[in-house]
Amino acid sequence: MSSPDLALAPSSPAPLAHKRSGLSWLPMTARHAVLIAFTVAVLWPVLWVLKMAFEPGQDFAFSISPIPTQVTLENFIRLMKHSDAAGHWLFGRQLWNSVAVSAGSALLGIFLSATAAYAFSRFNFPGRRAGLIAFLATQMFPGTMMMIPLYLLLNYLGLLDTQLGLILVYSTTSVPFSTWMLKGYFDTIPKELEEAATIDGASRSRIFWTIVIPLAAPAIAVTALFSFMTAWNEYILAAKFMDSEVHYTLPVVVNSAIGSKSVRWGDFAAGAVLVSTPVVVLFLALQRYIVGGLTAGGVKG
Amino acid sequence: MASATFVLLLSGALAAQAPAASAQPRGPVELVLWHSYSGAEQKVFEGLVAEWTAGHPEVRVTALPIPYDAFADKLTSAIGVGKGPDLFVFAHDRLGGWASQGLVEPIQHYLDAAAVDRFFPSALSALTFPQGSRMLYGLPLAMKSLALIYDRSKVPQPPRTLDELKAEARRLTDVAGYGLVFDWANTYSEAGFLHAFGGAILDPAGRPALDSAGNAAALGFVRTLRDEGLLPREVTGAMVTSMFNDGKAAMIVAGPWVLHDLEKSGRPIGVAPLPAGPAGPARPYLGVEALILSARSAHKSEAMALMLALTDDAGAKKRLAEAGQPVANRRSWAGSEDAALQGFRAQAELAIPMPTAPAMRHVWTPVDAALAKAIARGEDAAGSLAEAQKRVVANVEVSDRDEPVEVVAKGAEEVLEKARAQAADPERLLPEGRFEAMVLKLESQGPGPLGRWCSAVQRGFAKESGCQIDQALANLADLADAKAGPALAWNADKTEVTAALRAADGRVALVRGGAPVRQADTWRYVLGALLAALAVLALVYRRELAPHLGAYAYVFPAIASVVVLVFLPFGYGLSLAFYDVTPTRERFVGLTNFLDIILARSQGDAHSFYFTLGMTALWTVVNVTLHVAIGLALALVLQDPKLRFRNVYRVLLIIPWAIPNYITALIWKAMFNAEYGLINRVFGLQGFSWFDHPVSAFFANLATNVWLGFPFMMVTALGALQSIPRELYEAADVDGAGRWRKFSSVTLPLLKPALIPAIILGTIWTFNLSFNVIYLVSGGMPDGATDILVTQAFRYAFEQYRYGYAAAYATIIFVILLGYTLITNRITKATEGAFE
Repeated sequence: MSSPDLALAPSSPAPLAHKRSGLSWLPMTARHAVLIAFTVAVLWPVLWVLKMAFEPGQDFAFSISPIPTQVTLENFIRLMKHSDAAGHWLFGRQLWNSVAVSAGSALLGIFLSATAAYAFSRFNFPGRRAGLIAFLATQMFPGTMMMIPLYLLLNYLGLLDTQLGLILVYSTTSVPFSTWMLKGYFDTIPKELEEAATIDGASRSRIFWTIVIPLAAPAIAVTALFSFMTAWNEYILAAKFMDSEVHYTLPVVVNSAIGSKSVRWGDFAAGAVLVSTPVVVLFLALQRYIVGGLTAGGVKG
Repeated sequence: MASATFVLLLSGALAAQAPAASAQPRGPVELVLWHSYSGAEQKVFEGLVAEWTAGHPEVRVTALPIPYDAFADKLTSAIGVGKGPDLFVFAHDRLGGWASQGLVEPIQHYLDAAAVDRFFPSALSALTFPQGSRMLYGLPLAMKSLALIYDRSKVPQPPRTLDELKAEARRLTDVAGYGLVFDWANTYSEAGFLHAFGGAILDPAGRPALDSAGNAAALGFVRTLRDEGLLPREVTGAMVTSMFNDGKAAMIVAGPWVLHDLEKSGRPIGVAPLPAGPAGPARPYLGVEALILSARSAHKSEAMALMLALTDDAGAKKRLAEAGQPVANRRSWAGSEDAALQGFRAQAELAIPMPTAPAMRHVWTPVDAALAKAIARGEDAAGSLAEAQKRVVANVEVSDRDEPVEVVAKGAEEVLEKARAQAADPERLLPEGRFEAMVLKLESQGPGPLGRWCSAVQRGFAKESGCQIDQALANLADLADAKAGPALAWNADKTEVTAALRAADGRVALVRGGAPVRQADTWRYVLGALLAALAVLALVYRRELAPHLGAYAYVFPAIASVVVLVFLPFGYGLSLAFYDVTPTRERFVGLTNFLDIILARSQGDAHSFYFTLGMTALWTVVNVTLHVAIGLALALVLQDPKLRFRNVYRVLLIIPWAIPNYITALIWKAMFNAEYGLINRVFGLQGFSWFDHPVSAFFANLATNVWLGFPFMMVTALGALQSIPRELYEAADVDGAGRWRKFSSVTLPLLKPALIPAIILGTIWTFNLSFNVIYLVSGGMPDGATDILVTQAFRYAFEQYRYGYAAAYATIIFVILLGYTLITNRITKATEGAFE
């Protein structure tokens, strides 16, 4: 879906140094051994979740082998058929909520952080340094203390039990990190391009939307993915802010399998697979962007 | 005191009278019902609700399932702001707190004798608060307690005494499995055994009573079981069921919630009460699941009607038969052939209702710790219990000391004084003017079905219309009797307070008063102040700012949203740090919270702030080091394009990052299980309990978090490596540099600009966001030793409800992180580039 070149920051078109750096002296077999060991360690717990999801019953799987002994889709089917007492199909609604909230958070998050990052990167204005530090500082706020005040604030704004409320909360929590990342990336885009456009009479906003944004596509893709993923996986706030089953997001439903006294492992695992799969697929699809977009900003050309 | 004070009379007999109905015709009413049922229970329960609704077209009921771990917190917040359900289903053990916060409604005056008669008395008594008083806070749905579940093919006759239990366990324990399995490290599972030896967790008055000889003897008994190899080295709740199903346990101690899973295994199940010890039967704790009425419900009589219908004989029969619930309606048990459920019923009748005393919430962690010490580590049982007792007492003192009334509502002290004076001098008990009619009305009422209480006492009599004041007053009188002293009720804004006190002649003195303060619209003021400050700044510096308007236009949306949705809530949280805030009180204490933490003055914690800080620092350093080392090493291996399957590896190794961490944390916890966990089985460590020792528990957390965290660093390093120009290595080759030299003088320095911000960020995240890992994997075990600062702050806030203290803790965490970042920044100039 993308050419390998996209992994590069625009400012570092130099040929790669694969041959000369790294661990090329290490024999190939040793390298594969290390990689296989890590891959097994990474995959084992994941396979176990799959096993529980595809096996019938709600028990925890006590076996060394992650290969299911019986395969059934009953856990998935039960989850996907889920509907309320009145017969409305809830799973579809909840999937849609998850998609809408996550996509909304990603879009809004990108809009907020890209504009801010551009200003931080291109303008020198009073308060710029303070703003950057303040954004970094938000990452240090312990989340525990935010829950109750956020509830009260959303209640005050009349945004409890609305998708907009969740979108606002999710996107603003990811804005500081996204801004820092995008700012770093914008820094690596040569200013000469914009200067040339200015001479041609393009306005500031035109430059931003038609030159800077497309050039920063890899970084924007990555930040969008992070915002999306944060929103997609979250369930504590969603469970707290949403007051009707048709407004729940999928993680809330998945966590309903964890009761006070017992865990319905089959339901939980099947739900975990359903929730994780889209993000894993997105990761795989966007992974070339991730490698480039995440760090190109850090290395100044 | 601004509002009028009045006095009125209630005869002693009057308070007990049931009110008349005052059902006024109204439009369709919407009832909201919250529960956390799932599976069969949810199906049957929601079916019953639908059935009732069908017969009552004037009412619409929405049943909302809420994940259990989010339930209590959501409920408290929602009712606190006047929202939330009309009624909800929850176990009774949180009632004490909710009742004293005024969140739930006493319902004794809605009920007649017939309505009450259908329940087991022990279930009803569990729903009273103060326990044993007349104040009833719900209708019981089901009674759930542990009992002895046995495999009838192996155990012909269930043991009746603990000695028989031990003999049976010995007979049935062999290489294939255990005779007896139960979660002995858990206070809840252990309670029955404590009672069998004459011990207890709280005394009848609700005070901690851990350091008794009976408790020590009970722990000694369980220890001999474990020492003889008759119990697994480590058990968790979920494992107990699975072991029984796998035929690895002949007898288990578990609750009715496992029956559904057990029946599928096809084993013949018997259920019997727990065996008796020297001081009597092992009476486990009883959890009563009840329908509870919210104090803020606007449709209390409809909600009450639904509550009565859901608990009636027909409904209970259905729940018993179809959902396998041990229902609290005793009349519905006749004819039930389910021997297993009958066993649970027999046990439930013997069980002790879980105390609702506030002290109970401080018990779990210290007693769990004492169990681990005395049973698993073989330390002195009496000593371990004495230490637990000391900690519980200290915590109870800090968070549950009697609320100073003046913080309940402005002017409450004065109102109380007046009530005392009135009660002491019955001559002065005179009805006042306009309230006389009301007193007469009260006296003329006969018993009726349902009344409607609209929190009249709390709102002020004159303001409300169409509601039954008598119930409010009767409730208050009941409360005064229950407390054997003055009872207070207050309105939502805590601006008006009513005091009730029974006088010597049996009449009740009621005084209402208060100092209505205009409820400050805090958010509006804060937002307004912020805007004003910005406006002033803009005005003062308009000359300097004018040329930068374009820049501000770009930053504004982000800044504004972050200020409102991140800084504002954080500031609110921060301000709590200067208060002593619990659900029932709020008082300015200045720097006391901070001093308590910094001077490590708390007696109730297993570990001081500095221990936890050290643990957090260690946790962060080790994690970040491993993340970077592993991430960098893998990146160096992976960046070689000649490597076959390079993309496959890269794709697979990134997966942990994409899966929600609460899922993987739960899976990892199970993998570290002592007996059946994958790790112990692969490495031949069966029986080693990772969470009994601080070092191994730390390691288990670490393994989980490294698994979760290295992909981020790997990807960061991969990206950075790719952007190092090849010419630099060629130049190094020309200079004759070796491999190490190239790595140390080309690769590393060029990685630094990318890695250092990632490391700073990684540090902050590990310090702050590895909450799920610690909380779900080790849960702080053993005894809080592996807790880090954020999990400890969470415990203060959501397990002990000391919001102010938790806020101070969080503030300190923030200050530490800020300091760390500023210092590293200065040293490494890591983000300096960003400011150019």
